[in-house]
Amino acid sequence: MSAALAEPLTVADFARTFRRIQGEIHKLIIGHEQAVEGLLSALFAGGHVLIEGVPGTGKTTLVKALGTALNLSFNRIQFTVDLMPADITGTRVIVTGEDNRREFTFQPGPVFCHILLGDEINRATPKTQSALLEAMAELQVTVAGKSYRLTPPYFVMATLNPIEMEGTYALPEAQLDRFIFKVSLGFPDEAELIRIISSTTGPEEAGIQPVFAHAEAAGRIEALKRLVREVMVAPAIEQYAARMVRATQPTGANFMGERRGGAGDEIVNRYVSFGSSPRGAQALILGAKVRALLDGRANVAYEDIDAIAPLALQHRIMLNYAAHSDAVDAAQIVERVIKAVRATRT
Amino acid sequence: MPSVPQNPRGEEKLKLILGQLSAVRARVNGLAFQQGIFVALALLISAATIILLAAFTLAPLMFLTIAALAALICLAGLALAGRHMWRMSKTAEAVAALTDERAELKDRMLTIIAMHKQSVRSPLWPYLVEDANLKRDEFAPSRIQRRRISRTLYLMVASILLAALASPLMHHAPRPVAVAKHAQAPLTLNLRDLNIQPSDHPSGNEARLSGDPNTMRKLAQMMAEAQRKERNRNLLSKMKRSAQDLANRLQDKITGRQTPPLDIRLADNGGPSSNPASPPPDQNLNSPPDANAEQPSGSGSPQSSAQAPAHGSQETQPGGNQSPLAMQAPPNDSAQGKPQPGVDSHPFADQQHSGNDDAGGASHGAGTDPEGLYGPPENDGKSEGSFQIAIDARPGATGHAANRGYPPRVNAPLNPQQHADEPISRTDVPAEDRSTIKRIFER
Repeated sequence: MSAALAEPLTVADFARTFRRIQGEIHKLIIGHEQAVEGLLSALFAGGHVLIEGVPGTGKTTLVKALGTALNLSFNRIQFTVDLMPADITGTRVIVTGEDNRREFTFQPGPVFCHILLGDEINRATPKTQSALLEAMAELQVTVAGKSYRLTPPYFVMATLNPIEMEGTYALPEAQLDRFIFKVSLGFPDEAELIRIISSTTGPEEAGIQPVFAHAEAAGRIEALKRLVREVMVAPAIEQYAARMVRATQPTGANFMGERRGGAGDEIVNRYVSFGSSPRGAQALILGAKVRALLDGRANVAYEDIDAIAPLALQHRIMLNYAAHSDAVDAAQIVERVIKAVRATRT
Repeated sequence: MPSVPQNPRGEEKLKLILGQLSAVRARVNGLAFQQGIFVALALLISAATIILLAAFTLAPLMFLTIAALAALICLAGLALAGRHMWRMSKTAEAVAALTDERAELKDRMLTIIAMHKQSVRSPLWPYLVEDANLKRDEFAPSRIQRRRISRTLYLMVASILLAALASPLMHHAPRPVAVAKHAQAPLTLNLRDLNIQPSDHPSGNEARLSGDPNTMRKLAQMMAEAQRKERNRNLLSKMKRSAQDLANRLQDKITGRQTPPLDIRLADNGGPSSNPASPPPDQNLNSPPDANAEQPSGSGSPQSSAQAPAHGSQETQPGGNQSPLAMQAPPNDSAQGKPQPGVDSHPFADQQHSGNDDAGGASHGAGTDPEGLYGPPENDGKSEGSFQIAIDARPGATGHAANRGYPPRVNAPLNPQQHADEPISRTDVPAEDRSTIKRIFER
C-alpha cells in the first residue's frame, strides 16, 4: 500500500478527486455534465448504472473515457439476441496440462474486470441478462457450482437504446432494480454538436490522463467509496428518504401494509402499477452522501435527497397503461412525489 | 462505523455550537410564548370590552346574544392561540432544522443535534463540528430570530386602545336615574286589568305589592292560575323568557344598576265593563314610565282616591314563596274572555270609548274611527287586545324594541273642526233632473 493510501482521506480529497476525474472525462465527452456526475456518483456510491440514450450520443465513449481516467481494467460486451450467459460469465473448458492430463479449467468471461460496459443490454434474452445479476449484486460468478470472486471496484454500465425496440427484451424489474441510477444522455444542442465535430474529426485525439496510477487505482477508489459511507445522515433525513420511496407506491398496493403519514399523490395512484423497492431508499441515501461530499459537507441534507431522487427512482417506477396512454413518464411522477413529500417535511 | 477518539478541543467547539443552538431555541420559544400571551390578552380584553359595551347599550336579548358570541369567539380564539403557541414552541431538533433553513446550513445543525449523543461517531464527525463551528456567526440567535418582542404586542395594544375608546360610550350610556327617581312614587293598578304571568326572575325585589286582603287573595288566585297556564306554555317562549331574565341579571351585575323596587298598589275595582263609572283602569298602565311615576298616590285624582283604602293595608314582597310577576292588561272581552260580536276588538277601542265618556265629545263617539289615528296596529305576537308591562322594566329594557307595541296613550281632543256624523236628509228630486234620471233608469 502506498503512502498516499495510508493517509486518511478527507472530504476535500474526495471532492478534488471527483472533479479531476470529471475533468478528464469531459476532455472527450462534450456536454452531458449531469450524466457524467451521475455516472461518477454511482461509481463512488458502489452501484451500477444504466445509461439510456439514442445512438451516437456518446454512451460507449463515455464509458471508455471513464475506464481510461480511472486507469482500471475495462471490458465491453455487445449484447445480442444470441448471446449466451456463458459468453458473459465464462465457462469451463478442457485444457491439456503439462503432464498431458486434461482437465476442466474455468475460463473467465468479460465480467471479470473492474469496469464493464454492457452495450444495448435489452437486446439479449432475459436469461443472458440475468447472468449479470449475481455479478452486479454479489460481486461473484458461479459456474458449475463454483463461485469466482470479482475484484472490486466493480462497476457495470449498461446502455439502453430507447428507439429501436423491435427484437429487444425489456429488462425485468428485478434487474432494473440492481442499477443504482439511470442516466439519460440527451441529444446535444447545437453548440455542443459543433464542439463534438471539431474535437473528433481533427487529426489530434483528446488524450485522457489517468487520475490514478494503475497499481493504486483500485485501492484509491475503494477508499473513496468507504469515505462516502462515513457521511452522516440525521434520522429525520433517513425518514424523509423512506417516506419518499413509500410515496412512489400506489395506495392500493397489497404489499404496502399500513400506510402511515404517506404523501401519496393522486398521480401515483393513477399511473403507477409498482413503485420503488427498498433499494431505491438505499440509492437515495448513497447518492445523497456522494453529493454531500462533493459539496464539502460531512452530512446529508434534504436537498441532496431531492436532487438525487430523479436519478435513483425513475427507473424503479413501473407505469401502467394509463400512464402510457396519457403520455405521463416516470420523471413527472418522481417530480410530483418530491413535491408531495417535501410538503410533509418537519 | 469506526469510532473517533474524543478531541477535547472538538468537544469545546461542540459545546459552543450546542450553547448557541440553545440560545436560538430560547429566543424562538420565548417569542412563541409572547405571541400566545399577547394574543390571549388581546382576545380577553376585546371580548370584555364588547360584553361591557353591549351590557351598557343594548337591550337584554341582544346583549345576551352579543355576549355569548363574544365569549364563544374568545374561547375559540384562546384555544387556537394556545394551540398555535404549542406548535410554535420548538424542540431542539426543530430549532436545529429552523436554524439550518434560515442560515442555509444545509442540515448541519440537524445532524449535529441528532448525532452528538451517540457514543460511536463517524470519522467525519470532527470535520462536521469544525465546519459548523466556522459558521457560528451565521446562526447567531439574532440572525435566526431577529425579533425579541412578538408583533402580536400590537394586537394587544390595539385591543387596549379599543377598550379605552369604548370606555366613554359606557359612561354615557343611558342610565336608569330618572326612572329610579320616579319609581319611588307608588303605582296603582287595578287587579282586574292585569294579566298575571309568572316570571323566572329570582331576585324578587323588583316590586313591592300592596293591597287590601281581598285583593291580595285574588292576586294569589290569579298567580296560581297563571302558573298553571305557564306550565302549558311552549318551550320556546319559556326559553325566551328565561333568556331575557338571564340577560337582565347579567346586565345588572355588569353595569351595577341598582333599580329601587317599584311600589305597586293593587286594587280590585271590578272590570271596566262591569263598572263604567270607574276611572279608566289603564290610566297608569298604558302611560309611559315617567307618566306613571308622576301620578303620586293620594294626590286627589279620581284614580288615587279610589285606591286609597287599599293603600298600605298589606304589603307583599314577590319572590319568596310567590313568583315575581309580569302583568298584562286583559283583552277587550274582559271577564268572559270571548270577543263580543259587534264590539271593536282593537286594544284602544275600549280606551277611546271610555275617553268619549269622560270628554263628553259627541263627534268621535258617533262615527270617527279611532283606529286610524295611529295607523295600522303592528302584529307583535301579543294576544290581540292586550298589552304588557314588565314590572322590572328599565329604560335599557324598554328601548326601541319595547316601543314597537302600542303608542302611549294621549288624551288629545279630536279635531274641533270636525262635524258630527249626521245622515243626509232625504229630499225630492229636482224637477229639472227628473226626466234625465227617468231616462237612465228606463234604459
